[in-house]
Amino acid sequence: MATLIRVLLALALVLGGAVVAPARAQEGVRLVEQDIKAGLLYNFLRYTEWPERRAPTPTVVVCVYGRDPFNGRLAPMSGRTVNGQAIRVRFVDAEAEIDGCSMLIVNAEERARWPALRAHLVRRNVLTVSDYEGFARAGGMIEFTRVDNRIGVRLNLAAAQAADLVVQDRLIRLASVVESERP
Amino acid sequence: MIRRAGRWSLLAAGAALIAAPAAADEELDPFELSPEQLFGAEVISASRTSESIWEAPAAIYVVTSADIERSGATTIAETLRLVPGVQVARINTSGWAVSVRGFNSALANKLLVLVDGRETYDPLFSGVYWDVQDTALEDIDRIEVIRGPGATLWGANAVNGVINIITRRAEETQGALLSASAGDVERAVVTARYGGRLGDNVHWRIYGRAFDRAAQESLAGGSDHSAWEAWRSGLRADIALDARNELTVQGEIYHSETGQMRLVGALAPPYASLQNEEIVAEGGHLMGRWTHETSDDGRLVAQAYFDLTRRNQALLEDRRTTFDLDVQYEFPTIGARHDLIAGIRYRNSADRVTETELITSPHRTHETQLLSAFAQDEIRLSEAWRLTVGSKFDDNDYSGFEIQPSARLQWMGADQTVWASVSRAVRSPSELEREFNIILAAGEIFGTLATIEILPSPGFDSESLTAYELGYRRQWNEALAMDVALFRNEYEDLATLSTLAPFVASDPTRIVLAPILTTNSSSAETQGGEIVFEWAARDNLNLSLAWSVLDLDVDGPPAPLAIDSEIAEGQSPNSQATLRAEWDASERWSLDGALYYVDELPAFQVERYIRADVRVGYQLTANASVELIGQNLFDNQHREFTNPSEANAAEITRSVFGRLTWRH
Repeated sequence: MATLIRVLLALALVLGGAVVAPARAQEGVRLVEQDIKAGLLYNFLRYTEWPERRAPTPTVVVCVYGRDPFNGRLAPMSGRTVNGQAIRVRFVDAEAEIDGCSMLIVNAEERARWPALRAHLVRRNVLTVSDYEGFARAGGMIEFTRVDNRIGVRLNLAAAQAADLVVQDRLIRLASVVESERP
Repeated sequence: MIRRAGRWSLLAAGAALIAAPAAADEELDPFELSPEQLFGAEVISASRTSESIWEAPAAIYVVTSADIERSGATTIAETLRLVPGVQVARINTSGWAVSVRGFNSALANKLLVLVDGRETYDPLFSGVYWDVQDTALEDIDRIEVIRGPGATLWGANAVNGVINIITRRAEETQGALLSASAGDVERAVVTARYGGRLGDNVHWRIYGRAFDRAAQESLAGGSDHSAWEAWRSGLRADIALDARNELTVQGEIYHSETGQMRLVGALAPPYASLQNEEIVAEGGHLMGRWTHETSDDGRLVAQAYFDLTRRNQALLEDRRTTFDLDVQYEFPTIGARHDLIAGIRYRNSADRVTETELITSPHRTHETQLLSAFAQDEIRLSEAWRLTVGSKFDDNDYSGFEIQPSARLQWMGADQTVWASVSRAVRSPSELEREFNIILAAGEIFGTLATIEILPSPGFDSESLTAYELGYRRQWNEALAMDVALFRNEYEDLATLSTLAPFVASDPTRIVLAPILTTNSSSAETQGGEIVFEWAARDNLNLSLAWSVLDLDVDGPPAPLAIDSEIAEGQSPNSQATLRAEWDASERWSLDGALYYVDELPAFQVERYIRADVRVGYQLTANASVELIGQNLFDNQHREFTNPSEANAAEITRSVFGRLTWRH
């Protein structure tokens, strides 16, 4: 009997609450990890200034070096426009193919190739991105990090500046600025 | 649409390696969000845990919060049944015997249990009181269980395994939660939690929980008097001091009352009487943790806590105060190859035991101090090979200086990984073993008081373990993942109760017929393994199969010098298996089932059993759900542990209860 009363009381409490309470407020944005990173990359394209080219192109090319680390979640970015240019996503696996890229995403599996890639990219205005630990300290510009359930960015501003790229304050404020490791 | 399928962590981990899209809560377009929203977005899926499972060179299993909810477990001890290689035997309503890879006992001492980094082991007997391990289960983020010695990163008790219970951050538990259960054994369980924020940088939550559980069946029929009532309250605040510094403060207080039948001895006739022993335990703790990211990518974590406990049972009353300070530093990656982590720790635990006739000690208070340091380097030998070496250095009051080294090698392929390890771990002596005189039984011989007692053993040293482990993980395809772990543990200097020649003692005058000294005279070998399959059979159906085997061989000195080692061998089951299914039948209905098989325990004449649990869930509204849970459905009662001759031997009964959960 006591149990029955307990159950009824609990039921009444909960149902009453469910009826009276307003709809659940959105607690915050929840997304899959690769979606967050893809969104952030789109914003880096938006809030970074590349040096003016003699012949401005209608497209901005985002290259992925190695296998696709986004499990297909970057593909929707293709075809969108940012700052008046259409985005194209290309997959490359050789250094020779990265001419013409505005942004280069290096799959973490290819980290051993990063020093060679970095040497190849000198004096080209390419925004480099990866998500393995140590990328920013090794001269990469944007390193995705994850602390508990949030994605963060380590930004190597000096490396971006050396490539003539200006990242706007709005993103610098949200990121964690790091410096390259002294050799 | 409310999808409730919880992706099991192994599957989520492996599937993330292959192009497996996970289900997002909302259909949000990430390209429409502002940078502020993206930086503040919460990541769905236990991907960090997943990475740590996939890449960990250890036998690790993660119980996710979805697992806890859908298994219908109502206590932390019961959630551990889901983990392969962990032996969970329920003694009565409030007592469990839990161990990893063998050596299970009500006073199992080879397992370290942590809650948010706070150790729960009691130096009195080097074990865990399961009746005071509780929290709001709905706010547990995950429980990480590592089988095998975790000694290098954690404590000197992490011999057979480490269980780390991690609660959710305050920002993940915002708003109100109310959960109420009622049933025949789970008579009433109520949890209420509210989380809020102060600006953008401070998030907090406060909760209260209370329950009333019925007793089990005693072997003779009737109640075994282990009914259990308890309440607990806690708070947590996560404060972002600035971009690089975070402070977390947590605290809890609790009170628990339960009981059991016990044959309580006395030094006068009738020498033993069957009593309804009351067990009252209460306490609280307060913990602060500061995390600091240095400008060169290092990470410093400093944690300190105070823990107060008081426990009152027929045989003794113990009040304990523990202070623990722990500082760890993760170095920035050196040379793109070395991930170093190092730490130091100081722990001071002092207790005051109120003696009884049967349990006495030359000192009324005991204080043990522990100074500990560890270092570990994870070396990336190449893209696919990783070597982790490390050691812990302990200096404790009882056994002095101890070194616990460990080396792990791992090869990682695209969808499979192999690892192997060698480690040493020690179990340091407990206060009971070193300092206490325990009279087990008393009687009369030739008109004089005669006893069987365990003497204080100041010469008792640490037990040690050398563990050899091998593991293999494979993601067969998007839907099927497998994890295998094999081990061989060689134990030395195991605690042995060695009987000496009778002698006459005084105060009170008595003949000690069977004086027992705790010595390090036994060794043992265990070997076995665990295998887990997780299969996403359909979009809305997950299946999991876990099977573990264990072969335990104890070499003690021959009887009558020592207590029979066959008993130790027969206290853990040779094999266990678990089969689980989670089915999201429709948008509102979910159905889960689990079958647990546990082999016999010959030492206790416990027969092998199969236990079936079922949960039916219905989503009433967006905010409220109702569940019907049945546990132990096949059998209306069976015994899981303890000798049938023990006073507290009980049969664990079938339990059915309903649960309502409301979130806002």
